[in-house]
Amino acid sequence: MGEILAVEVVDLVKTYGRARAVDGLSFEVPAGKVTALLGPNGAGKTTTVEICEGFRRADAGTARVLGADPRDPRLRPRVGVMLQSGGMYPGAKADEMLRLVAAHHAHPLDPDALLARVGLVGAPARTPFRRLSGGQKQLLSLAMAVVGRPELVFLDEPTAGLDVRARHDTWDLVEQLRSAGVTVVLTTHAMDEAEKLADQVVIINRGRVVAAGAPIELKGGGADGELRFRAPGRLDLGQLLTALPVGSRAVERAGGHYIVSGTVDAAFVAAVMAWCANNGVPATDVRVEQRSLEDVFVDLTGSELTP
Amino acid sequence: MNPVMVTARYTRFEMARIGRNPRFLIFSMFLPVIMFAAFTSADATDALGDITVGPYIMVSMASFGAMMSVVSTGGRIALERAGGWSRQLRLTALTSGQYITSKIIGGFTLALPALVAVFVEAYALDRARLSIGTYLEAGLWVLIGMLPLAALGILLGYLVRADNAGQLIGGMTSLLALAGGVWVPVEQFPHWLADVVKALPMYWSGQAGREVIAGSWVGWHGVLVLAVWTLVLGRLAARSYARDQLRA
Repeated sequence: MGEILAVEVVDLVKTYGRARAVDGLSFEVPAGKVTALLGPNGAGKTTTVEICEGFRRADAGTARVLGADPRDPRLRPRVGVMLQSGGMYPGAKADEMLRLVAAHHAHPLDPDALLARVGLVGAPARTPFRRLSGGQKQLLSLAMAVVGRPELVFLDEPTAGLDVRARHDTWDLVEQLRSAGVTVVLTTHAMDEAEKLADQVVIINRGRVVAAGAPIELKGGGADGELRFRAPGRLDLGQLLTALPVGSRAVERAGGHYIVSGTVDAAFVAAVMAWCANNGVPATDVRVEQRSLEDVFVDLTGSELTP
Repeated sequence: MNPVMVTARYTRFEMARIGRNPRFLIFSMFLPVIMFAAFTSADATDALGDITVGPYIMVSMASFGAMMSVVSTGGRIALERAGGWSRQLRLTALTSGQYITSKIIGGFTLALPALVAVFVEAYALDRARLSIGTYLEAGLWVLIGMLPLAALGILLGYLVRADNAGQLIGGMTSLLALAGGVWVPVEQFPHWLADVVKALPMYWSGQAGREVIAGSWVGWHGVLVLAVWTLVLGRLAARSYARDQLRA
């Protein structure tokens, strides 16, 4: 508590026709942190962000951005926005548009340096936008969002459709923003992205927040995990569990796949392996997996995160 | 930031993009030039209204070319909206007034070559020999008469979608040209239709130019029609811009 809030959303509601896209959604974004709004497509992430950006009006509830109404024009130089739909003029060139946007800010970043930073140098910078690749378009959008040195940046699906390299460039840029003290709000349906980048994750499903917290908290302190291995079928799992701490669980899946879950630390792994050795079980493909945000999401909603 | 600077910067951005696609510019110059040559080949010195056919058709075709250019702004706006550029602009400090001003300047800059081309052609073919002052004054009045059409172009940009903007705006310019007495002189219209045409802005653009050539001026009636249309269409255009930014 006592944290400075960059964004505060309380009981937000937005309905399109009969569909309730956002249904009483509340969350807070602490200043200087990276917050990810994580959820499947259609969960209401974009609508929520668009209300915070001032593009849409909520039917009920409130959103405050940097202490002001999202529609307050005085917010414009302080807030950077990466538009999901691109937000570009198809016939204009990358450097033209970036320079134009930069010129609207008092102390913008150097457009050339920024273009170089996102890999849009030489021909791509002077190519009409419509001829850029999907990844280049995306990176230009990102550059336009940050060129004005905003205090707060909204990134709507920043890595959707990017190849691995462009994705990592984007992640690096988000890390740099965080280091510079910029508050970042990003939406994603990629849980690895949320886990890697976010200080705080807000999991959204069907227009509501189902959980919020640091990724490690959401995953149950990081100790919760699974040990998986393969072995010939029909092991006596009851006997295995007597060798493990109370609260551990073990299941057999088809094809001789075993999943033992609990507080997976070195002692846990050693105990399982010792039991296998003592009972002559030839365990192969032994893997330790931590609970992912995906598991959290499935637990909370009963549905898959990735479509 | 200085609003004039902001407008100038956006206008420059606009111009660079217009300059990059010269196909439209060439089309908007050639079409009226060819039509002028065809329509005046036989009877350039016959009387039509208060002046002769040559200068009459010259003004009609100049205003036709200029009209195509200012209305074409709508097509560019429809494209911008489809690409989400209008949302990007909403995130900057550019106001609706500055945006629309830039659009109008862009449309008029595009209109000028078409107008000049027809004037030069009429002189070169010896079908309208006027003093430099008369050319300038007639051209200026034709452009003043374009103001409501420039607003209409912007408004159309918010009414049409990018994928059918070309056809709709092309059809609209033909309709305007027909209704403005550009292709068929109003003098040859039935009485009731001429009255309708005279309530529309397109007619007054040409009429304003022709009155100059006849040694007169367009008169308060024409100025009033142009002003009312400019205000109404301009207001609607500004409102569409504001509404589009909100929903887009």
